[in-house]
Amino acid sequence: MFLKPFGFTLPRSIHPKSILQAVIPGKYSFSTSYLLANTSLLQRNQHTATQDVLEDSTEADKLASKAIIDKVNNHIATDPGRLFAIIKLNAKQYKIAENDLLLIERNWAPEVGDKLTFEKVLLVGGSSFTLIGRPILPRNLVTVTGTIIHKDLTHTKLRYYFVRKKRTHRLNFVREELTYVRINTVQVHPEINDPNTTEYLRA
Amino acid sequence: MSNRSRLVPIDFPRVPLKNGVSRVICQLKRITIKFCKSSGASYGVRSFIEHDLLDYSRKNPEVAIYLKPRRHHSPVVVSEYLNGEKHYMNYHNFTRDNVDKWMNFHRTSVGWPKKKWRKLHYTRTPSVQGVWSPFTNMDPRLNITKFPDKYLGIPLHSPETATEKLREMFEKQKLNEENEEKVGKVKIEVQS
Repeated sequence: MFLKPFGFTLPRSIHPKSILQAVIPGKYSFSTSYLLANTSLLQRNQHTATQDVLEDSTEADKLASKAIIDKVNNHIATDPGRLFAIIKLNAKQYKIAENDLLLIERNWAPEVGDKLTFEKVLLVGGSSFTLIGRPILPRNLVTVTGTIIHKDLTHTKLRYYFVRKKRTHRLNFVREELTYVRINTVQVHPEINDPNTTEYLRA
Repeated sequence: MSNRSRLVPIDFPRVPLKNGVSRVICQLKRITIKFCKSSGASYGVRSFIEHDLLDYSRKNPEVAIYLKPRRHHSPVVVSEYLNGEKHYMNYHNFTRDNVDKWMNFHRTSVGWPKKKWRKLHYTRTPSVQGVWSPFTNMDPRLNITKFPDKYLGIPLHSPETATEKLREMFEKQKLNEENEEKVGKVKIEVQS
């Protein structure tokens, strides 16, 4: 019989039964002492997520990365052309470009005619470059704006609920609320990798 | 609800007049409220007219509002849109809040007949960096190779044959022998 302690799983290398027998005299009863005794063991095996920052060590590397950043900056300053962005909106991610139409299927607070600025921009791309946020891009590097144009209802949907062998079934007719959003601008401001612009501003 | 009313036209999402590209235009043109001055069914509509209608008309100057009292009929609201659509809605026994809510709904709605949207996203720029295909970042060597090719024709996951195994063993043996010879030579040199 495989025993699993409350809350967390044991590392593979230790068989739970052996520890139990060693620590607790009672056969299958768990106590806090057991959990406390083994926390250090468990902690040693936990992997914490870390982010590796690769810094340019050699002069050649530094020059190469500077050349790339300058190229992108130059592209943005002259004519970035069509841009696309990935924004997070109501717990969903959308890949959008200028003049796109987004339909959001839920009751959403902003009113018709409201102009919005989307601040959770995860990624921005042009024809020759892509900027990836960690997890979002700094606010003063990218601006994505949109307008609420309509609020309507969807077509009638069927929502059928059925439980086997329990004589329960329900058929509901639902019209969800739909919010129409027009994306107006996707802009990148010049000077990427500039510490003044790339710093996160917190209100 | 009949099955027939579920058969709605299917379309890709769109909006009249490219609405929102530079400006937002209210699609509601004219709204007519038909109600009774005495019956209980239009009580909510009457209180809406009394308290909220002036505010509503001031906020939306582009909408023409008509009031049409008629005796002993349930209240009906007819909303007409810029594209010529006309929607009827019965307001029988609606409360004042409910009337307010639905009047705002007519104002904000698209004004088209009910449609089922295939997607909830419409874009004119489906791809900026080019559509990805399995060949996008591949070695262009394939363009000039002539088929059948000796190396590309080999199956990817074929088990090792007996002859190959033997050949490997033979080569290992050879290597070992060479090493032994070398070691022997070194030993001899050291000795000498």
